[in-house]
Amino acid sequence: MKKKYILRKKIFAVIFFIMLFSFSGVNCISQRKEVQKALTEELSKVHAWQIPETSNIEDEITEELAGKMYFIETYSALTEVLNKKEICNYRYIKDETGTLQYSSFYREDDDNIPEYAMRVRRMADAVKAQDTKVLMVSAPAKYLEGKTPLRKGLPANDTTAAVNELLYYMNLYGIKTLDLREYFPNDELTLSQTFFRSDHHWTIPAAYYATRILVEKLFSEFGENLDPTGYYTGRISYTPKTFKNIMLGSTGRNTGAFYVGVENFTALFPNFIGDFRRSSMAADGTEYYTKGNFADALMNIEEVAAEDNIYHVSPYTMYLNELRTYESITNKEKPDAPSILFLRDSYFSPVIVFMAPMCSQIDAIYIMEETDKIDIEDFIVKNHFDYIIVEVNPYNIGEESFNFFYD
Amino acid sequence: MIFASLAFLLYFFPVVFLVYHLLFFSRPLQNCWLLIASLLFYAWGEPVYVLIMIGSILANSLFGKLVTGRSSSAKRFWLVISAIANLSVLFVFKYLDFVLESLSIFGVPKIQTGLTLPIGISFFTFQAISYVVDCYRGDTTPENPFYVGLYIAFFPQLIAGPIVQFNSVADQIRNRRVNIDLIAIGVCRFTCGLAKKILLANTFSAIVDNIFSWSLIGSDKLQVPVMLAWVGSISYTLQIYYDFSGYSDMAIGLALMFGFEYSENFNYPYSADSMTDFWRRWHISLTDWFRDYVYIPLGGNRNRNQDMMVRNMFIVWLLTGIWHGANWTFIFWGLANFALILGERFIDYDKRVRNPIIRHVLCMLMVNFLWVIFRADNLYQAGIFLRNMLGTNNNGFYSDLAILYLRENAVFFIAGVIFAKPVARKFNERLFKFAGSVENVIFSVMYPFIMTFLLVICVSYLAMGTYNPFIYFNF
Repeated sequence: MKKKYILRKKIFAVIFFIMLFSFSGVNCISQRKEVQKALTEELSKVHAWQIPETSNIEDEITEELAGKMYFIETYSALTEVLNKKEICNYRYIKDETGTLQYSSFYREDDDNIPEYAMRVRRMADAVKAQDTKVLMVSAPAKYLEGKTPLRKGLPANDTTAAVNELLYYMNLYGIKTLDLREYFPNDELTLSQTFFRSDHHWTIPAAYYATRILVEKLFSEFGENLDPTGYYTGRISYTPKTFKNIMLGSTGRNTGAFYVGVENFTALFPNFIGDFRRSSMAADGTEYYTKGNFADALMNIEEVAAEDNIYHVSPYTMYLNELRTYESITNKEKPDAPSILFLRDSYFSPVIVFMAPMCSQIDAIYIMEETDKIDIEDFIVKNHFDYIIVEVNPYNIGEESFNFFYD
Repeated sequence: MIFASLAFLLYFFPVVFLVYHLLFFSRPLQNCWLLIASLLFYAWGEPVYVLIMIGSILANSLFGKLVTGRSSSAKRFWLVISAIANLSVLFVFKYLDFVLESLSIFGVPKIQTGLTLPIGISFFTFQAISYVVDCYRGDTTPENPFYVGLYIAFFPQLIAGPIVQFNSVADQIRNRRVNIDLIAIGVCRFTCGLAKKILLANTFSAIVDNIFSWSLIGSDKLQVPVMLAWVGSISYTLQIYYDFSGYSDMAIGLALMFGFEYSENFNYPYSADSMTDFWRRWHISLTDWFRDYVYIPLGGNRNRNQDMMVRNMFIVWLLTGIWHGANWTFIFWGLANFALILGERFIDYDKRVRNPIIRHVLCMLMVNFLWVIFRADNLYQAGIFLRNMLGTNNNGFYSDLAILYLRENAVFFIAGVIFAKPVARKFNERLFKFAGSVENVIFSVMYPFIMTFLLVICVSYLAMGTYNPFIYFNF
């Protein structure tokens, strides 16, 4: 009996060492450069006789693990088999439609919300002399209280109170606001059609719907009629095209496709040509320049369509490459139309694209990026825009989204 | 570096194991290699404090020589000096700030050194003391600094035990055998320990850390109802067992792969039917150390004067509490264990309470309550949490969140409760008894697959970056 007892352990031991040594070897080869780079970086921070900090090196080892996505999918599959509604220790939860939601057991009150509103007020005062109008837009949160079906007890990250407070103070300080929560879901888009299951963003049709609401708001609030013929905000200007099973969003890549499922991605392609110049800058200062028609200048179709690795690139990057620190879009066909500066996050990338045909100039700054390449206050004061639109995703309400016009 | 990490599994362990076995022709070279690897292992997480460890090795090697081959008074003198030296280092790094902060209550100006605690200092200090005392007693002969270093710093048991007494490994340092059977047993033990830590302990710890932190927010902002508090306390009871015993399993398994055979550190403590029985099963190496190096030298049970016996027990449990951490919670916890164990003796518990179910339930209740004190950041939080458990904090009874936690982690709770009992042992015994049975054959075939599955799942959890706390920072 002892022989059998040891035999099964020996068999496993052989499997163990084969797996361990081969996997170790593969990782030594595949992540050699990244780990060496991390090690060199840490060594440069210490004297020759000291041992460097190792936590960054360990992080690199985990990040660059060979076949990492297979392990993530294994974890994902196990979580799905166990029928769990939470994953990664409540980093995300799944609602009754299968959509991943951010989770939060307890939200600490942000006492600085009035100050954020005051900063927008100061900015409005700084540009008042130029007759620039300011609008604060709150994008809809993925979890909408009373609308998102969630199993009892699951701790959704409910931003309702924070958004309500922000909009209240904005209005109190005389800033016009647009609360997009009121418009979703609607007759055209259900909740499932508004947000991706596996990504924190809204869908492109939802972004387009929001564009229409924004244009209506600019008209009703400021008398600005960006789309007199209704062409660009009507359904005739764009044709939807659905790419099947190519969308695994950022949250889905963190949790695994097995758990949330791969989605279709519906893009809106223009039925007009347009003539645009676009210059943009990434966080590291790299500059890009494109020009041409709507699709060539503003969309990133080839890269997305050609990508067959759902883990690599999100189709959401089809619009303005998802997010760059600075964008400047000139519409050559409408030099007399209004100009808009967006202080925004990634939610408004498709909105900016849909707004571009109706404006002469759109500049956009990703306000959450910490960069010394752009001084937001200086930029705002020195450049004239007809409108400044501040857009914040409710989950981003915080110091980083309002890092301008401090007291 | 910790065992449950990719850096250890992919880089450190394969290299150390491979080189060790390539040096099969020379035991001294193997030992040297293990010492170097162990120092690197420690330095990975403690690049500065590794010097303290090296200092401890050199100093205790010297003390080991000084306490042998001399007159009794000289030996005793150096023994005392070594104890003072070892305990002083432990005191400065672990307890000094705590003492200074406690004294500030009496008006003494609050000074904090800001020194951080070297990982594993409690473990390797006790091992160092064990070495010197064993030399003093003549249980072993003094070793060269390299072998002393290997004993103190050997990476499997360095950070979280078991606390190995020198007399139990002295011979193994020079004369251990390594064969495929031991390696195989070690591999399986290590994998089981890894699964305990990653799959069970980490799952429970995510629950525990949330619930305990909520208890401090204030019941006006966030209540912790009775149900939720009990989920938290039971989760911690399971967490600490699987974390600690999992780590011990990994340590014992790794040691076996290098030919060292350590004693068991846990013997299904949650099968205990009294506090006395519990402490025969929990962290056995620590209780053995205190028995051999504190309790028995003080006279142990052999005093006719019962007061001396009580005094000895009090000292041991006070020190046990203090050893676990620099916080009044640990002292309170240690003394509470003392009170319960003493109480069991005084009331002749074994004769008065005979029903095994009642005994077991009472024991588990006491253990559970004491773990709450152990886990709390301070006595205030412990009090709040216990009040939450008893429903005396205006916190209500029912909790959706508790139901959610139980539902979401049902499989883990069930596995946690089942495997806390000697199910695996009884199953093995049954297989042994019915050697040629069908279930034996099926299990033998399935075993490698089950273990491989566990290993892959563990690596998946690590790749995912799931919650993987290291709870031995206090030690």
